[in-house]
Amino acid sequence: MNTGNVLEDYEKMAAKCLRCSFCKFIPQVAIKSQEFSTTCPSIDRYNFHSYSGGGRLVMALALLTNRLEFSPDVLDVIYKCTACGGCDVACKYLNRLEPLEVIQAIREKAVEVHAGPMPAHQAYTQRVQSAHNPYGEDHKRRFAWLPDDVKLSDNASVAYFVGCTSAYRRKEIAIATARVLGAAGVKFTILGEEEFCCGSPLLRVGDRKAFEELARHNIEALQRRGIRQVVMNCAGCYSIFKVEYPHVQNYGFRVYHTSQYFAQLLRNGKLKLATPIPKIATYHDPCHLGRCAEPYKTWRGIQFKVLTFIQLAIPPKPFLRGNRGVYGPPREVIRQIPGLKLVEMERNQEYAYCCGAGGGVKAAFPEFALYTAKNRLREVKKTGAEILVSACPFCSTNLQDAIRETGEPIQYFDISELLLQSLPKGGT
Amino acid sequence: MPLEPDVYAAFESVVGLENISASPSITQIYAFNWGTELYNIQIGKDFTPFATVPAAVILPSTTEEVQKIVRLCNRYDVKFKAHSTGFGPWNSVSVLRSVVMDLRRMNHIVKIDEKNLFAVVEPYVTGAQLQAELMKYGLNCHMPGAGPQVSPLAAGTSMAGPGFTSPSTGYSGRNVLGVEWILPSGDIVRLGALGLRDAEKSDWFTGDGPGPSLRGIMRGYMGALGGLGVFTKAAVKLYPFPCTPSWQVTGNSPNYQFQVPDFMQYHVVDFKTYGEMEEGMRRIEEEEICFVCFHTSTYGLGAVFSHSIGSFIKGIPSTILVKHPIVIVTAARTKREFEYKEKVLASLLKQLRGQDLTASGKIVPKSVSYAEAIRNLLGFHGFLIGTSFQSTHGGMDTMAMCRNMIQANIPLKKGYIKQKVIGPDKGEGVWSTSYEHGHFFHAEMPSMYDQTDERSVRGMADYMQKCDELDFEKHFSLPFFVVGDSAHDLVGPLCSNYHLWLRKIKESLDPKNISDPGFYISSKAGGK
Amino acid sequence: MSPLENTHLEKFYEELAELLGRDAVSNDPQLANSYAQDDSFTEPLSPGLAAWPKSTADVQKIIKVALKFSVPLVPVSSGPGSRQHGDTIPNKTESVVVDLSRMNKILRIDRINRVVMVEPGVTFSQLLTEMEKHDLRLLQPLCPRWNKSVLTSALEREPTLIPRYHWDTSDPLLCTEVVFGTGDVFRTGSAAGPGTVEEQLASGAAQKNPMGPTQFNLFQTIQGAQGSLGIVTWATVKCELKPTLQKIWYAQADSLGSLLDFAHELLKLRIGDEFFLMSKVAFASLAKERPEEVRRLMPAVKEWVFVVVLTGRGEFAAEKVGYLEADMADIATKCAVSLESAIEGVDNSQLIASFSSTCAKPWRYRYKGACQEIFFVTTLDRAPAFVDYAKAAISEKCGGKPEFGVYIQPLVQGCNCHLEFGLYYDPQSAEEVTAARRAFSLLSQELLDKGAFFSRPYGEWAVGMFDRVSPEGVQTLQKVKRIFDPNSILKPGVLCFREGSQ
Repeated sequence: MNTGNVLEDYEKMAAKCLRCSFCKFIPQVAIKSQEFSTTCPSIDRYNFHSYSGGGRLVMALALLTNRLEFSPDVLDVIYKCTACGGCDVACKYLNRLEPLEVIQAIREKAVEVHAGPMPAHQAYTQRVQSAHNPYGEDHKRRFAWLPDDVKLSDNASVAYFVGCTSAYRRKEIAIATARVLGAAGVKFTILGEEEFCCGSPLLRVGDRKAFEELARHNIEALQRRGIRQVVMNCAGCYSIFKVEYPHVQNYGFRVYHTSQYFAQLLRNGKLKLATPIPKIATYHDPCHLGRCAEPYKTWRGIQFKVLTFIQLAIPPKPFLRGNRGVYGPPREVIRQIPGLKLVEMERNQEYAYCCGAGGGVKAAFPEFALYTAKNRLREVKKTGAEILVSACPFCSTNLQDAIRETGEPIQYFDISELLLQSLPKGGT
Repeated sequence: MPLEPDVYAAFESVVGLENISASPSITQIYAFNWGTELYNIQIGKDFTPFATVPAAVILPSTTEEVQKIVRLCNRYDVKFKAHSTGFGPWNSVSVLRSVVMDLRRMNHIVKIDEKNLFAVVEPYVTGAQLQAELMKYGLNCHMPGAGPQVSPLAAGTSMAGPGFTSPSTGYSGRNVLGVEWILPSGDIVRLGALGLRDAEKSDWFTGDGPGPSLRGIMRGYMGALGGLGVFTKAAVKLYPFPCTPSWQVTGNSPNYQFQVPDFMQYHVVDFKTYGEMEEGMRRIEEEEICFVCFHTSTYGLGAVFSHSIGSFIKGIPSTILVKHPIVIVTAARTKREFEYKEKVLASLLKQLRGQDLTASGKIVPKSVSYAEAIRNLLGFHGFLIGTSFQSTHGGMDTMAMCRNMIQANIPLKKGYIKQKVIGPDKGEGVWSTSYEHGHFFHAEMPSMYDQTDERSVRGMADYMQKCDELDFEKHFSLPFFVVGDSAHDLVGPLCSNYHLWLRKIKESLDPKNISDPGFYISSKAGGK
Repeated sequence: MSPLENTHLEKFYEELAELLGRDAVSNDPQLANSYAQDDSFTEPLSPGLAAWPKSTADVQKIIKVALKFSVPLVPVSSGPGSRQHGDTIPNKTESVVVDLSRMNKILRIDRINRVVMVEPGVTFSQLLTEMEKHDLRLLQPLCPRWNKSVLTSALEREPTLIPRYHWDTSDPLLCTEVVFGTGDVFRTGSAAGPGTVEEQLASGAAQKNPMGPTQFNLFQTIQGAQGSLGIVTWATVKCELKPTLQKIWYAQADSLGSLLDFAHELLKLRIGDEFFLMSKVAFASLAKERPEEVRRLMPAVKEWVFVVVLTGRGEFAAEKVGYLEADMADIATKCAVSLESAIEGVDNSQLIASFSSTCAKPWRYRYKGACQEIFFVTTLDRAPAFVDYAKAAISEKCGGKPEFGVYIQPLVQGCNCHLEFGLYYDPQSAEEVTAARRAFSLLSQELLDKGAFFSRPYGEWAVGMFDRVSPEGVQTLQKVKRIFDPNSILKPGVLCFREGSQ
């Protein structure tokens, strides 16, 4: 989230942390069991208070008041965090703080002073800069996944922005997405070699400058082609385009996550589902499709105090609580799949537990990423679900890594894959 | 002051490499707590939200580990402060060469004894977690007003105890049965029937006896705040879930919708005068019909039912004309019980001339407020407007005394409001609740202040001191926060010289002040 | 008067008589003898002297003189015939009994705040008579003897009849004024200060909050100490409002276990005021006054009787009782328990009245003339097992004698219960006395071995109990004793404060 603020702007706010520990749990009214009451994978794993949203707020204060400097230990705390926003949602239920903004600001400060990000992040940043993807894969083969029978339309106003993870690691999602779009008769195109990494992995670890370069490139590439609608299946790309790109450069196209687009296609009768999937499924809300996907306008106005201490703003300042994320459409899609029964996990929507991959964690701390995914899998298991569905290739990778490691008899599918399976004759 | 390498290594050998840290990235963060800036001013230190930085933070996971750590502290003359959910300045250590024991890893619900109505918990089980598990048995627990995210064990053994459901669930300190207590020496005392040497026969059902109860040494109306060892397990009394035990929350933050169980109803009742309010609290509570029953100010009322500054401001017109409100929640398990309670309340309000603003549609709490009543989240609304608050007074005895205290406080508070160092609430800001269906009452006067503004903090500190002096002058019951040597030495002579006896207890059980005495009392031998 | 043999005590007597007046101290051996024994099997021992303070200042003087001459003190408040556990019998020959019965003022009855303030010499009979004039009822044990001290009953944690009003073990005791073994006066709870009691009353307070001052609850530690930490000179005691409608209900069964689910559920939901279970013989002894009446009733009663009283007050009393009855009936059906509103031969109104009154002679004595109680705290669900142990022990090791009754009083809103075995015997029969004495010791040991928690360990129970709890707890108690009675002049040797143990 780009509020235009830098770390120094948060000193007073950080000092207002109550250390109430709301940030360690899902919103208190939502708690239904002890087992699934926590929200922060970081403190779940590392236990010291520093590893919580509140702990990082205080860390910001300590950095700003010269009680701390950017040491390896400090970086460890800063980066062992998926920046999932769980703490942010919980805190804001009754507090007026911005834990996620502060976490982002600390990271940007770390990068600014050349202390961060972590070596693994620096490595993938370099790969993005040279190969336009964090995996260092051949840029020319970004669309090698595209099946021959998928028809692209050169003059389409709809572009499918594939994203690095789908293109290089979760090709099954890219293929399924393309096929479903095709089955719906959507004329779409791709950016080909003009599609660069969306920049999310760079921004999340604090490298705003490098991110902005990528943002401008992608926006211009899309605008140049006259694209009116951009569809993406990656929650990370979606959040970056929807929430962050407008603050780098204005653009004239509409951004959709595939779950939204598919829901619309189903409503309009463009997609017909026929093949039943008689299973129990549960849906994992990706953080960047949910609580971290709320667009906002940069606030400009006046601030003043009333009743001595109450800070008011005209117009009101945006206060994002995660309640305007994309929660309905994926569920709408899943519920229309014949035979499939959707059971919710206790932690869902704006207080869903993170999959563990985001914020640079998968790259720098793979053991921690897996720990978090395993926690999430326990919750999946509790629902009795046979299928775990989500809508992000990064969640897909991490959760499937955990399924594999634990040997749990759970199948993972992206929403596009389930749709494809449910198309008449499985979409073939 | 860093620990010597061999001392650090000794602690590390108990908990493992991952569970101890002397890194400033950890220790500095533990030096920060809510209210520390205010406490620092009160004890003559600089204006900063950071207290003394511990030499290390240790995360034990078992009673045995805690005992070993305490023994090592004794051996190496390292002071310790243990806390769990830790919400307040009392988490901090007060001297250098101290360690913090964060009991976060001790988070098990050891046992729920459904028949005998108690649960045994470790320090980091939170109220919400315990309640969520207890609901499955149709049971409930008491939670302190600090919120459901804090520890019932900490509240019961070491802290205060008022809660929003206190009319029906009592006071934390009176809800404790057997306790596993590691003394500052490292000896383990198991209170009551838990103390039977034959572990097969020991149990948690009483923490008193044989003979004199050591619960009386363990805590008072305020606990020892970490100054008398570590509590590693405790049995807490359980209560019936007040209505049908179901918890359905939908929607998104902050506008959650809660499926209000059958037979639960808010009544926001207004009284014209303090006298009528006082009588109202007492008479309503005598009828034993309330799950929740508290008096607050008009601003408090607005805050309790708002979830944003916007909604708080919007709500002012409907609360501004309210004079002396009492917020009541009735709850019942059966329709007939509910009808009885509602009928009694209606009849009583008529007699007492209380105006039911909910029945008349003027103040109708949302469904989520019902969830917050059950989950003891109402008090946290005090932080809604984005500053800090701290309470003054806190005396506990009769409603008459509380009312006198509330009224005596008004002119004093107005003086500080005029200086714009604390938030304006006409001096009437209050939370007063009953305990055990009106057997005793307390009143605390929460005041907003800006914890980042030194002038506001100093003003608040000064106001708090004057509040204490008012309590002493008017012979109201003691305020909450009489803790620490200076406070005890000042107040003791006014109260049967209790400080001399409290100090003897500390001298006897912890002559070297190994268990941080900062928020308790120190032994003469250990010095201040 | 025979001359005192002990010069030590003689000097004590002279000095105290000087301070308190000769009518307040006695060295008459016959008078002293009246304190030498009680209804228990504790070995009799006469004190050397008896003193009757009239005020807190008098108590202080007694303690100060006792300190000067190292004379052990034994506080006594209840009248003769109502002392049953041996705790007021001296265990040293030169002890001085401090008889608080002349400190018998009812200091305050406060309807508004539901509290009474009493001196130690106030008896149940005295207080209940006064309370008749007010809208209050005392939270009292079951049929206390008329001259039992109200304050002592609360201090000794005697079980009270209404579990839902028993919020904590310490109820109904609230604030106290106590003189420690150092001679220092202390007030516990909100009574501690600021201000005198009168100043606090003027501020609207009523010494209701038992907790504190600040970070300890000394009232809880003095409670159960059997007078070994301090002598309490007044206390406030919690009361409740008098019901205007009371309806008694019974459930009977051949096995105790079959009543327990029902009892647990009612306790959980806080249904019922007076609430207890008894074996047939105990119930018959409670319901009837004369031995032949007791015997006549027994065949009409099943082995186990559960008694609960539902109450209401004021305008909606009947409605309240109505919904409680209906809710209770639903629970009874769920638990397969039959409820009865009457038991043939039992006068309901008389029984209900007994719950808020006293008896001339302990109700437990009605069956055979005497009774020794063995009691401890446990949980309701363990009661059947303990009953079986007791039956087996009496049967196998005592030749089946004496007959015993069981009284189970749930406490602390159902978290635990007082479980009591009453051994009935004819005090005129040497054989029965011997059997009872033997059974008392044997059964006490048996129950201790089975894990019974004697939270009020009188006499021989103290040795057994403190040997069975962890030494750390004992050491801590001994440290506490050293603080409040460093010279060990208050009941030395009682509980775990044995000579040489400190």
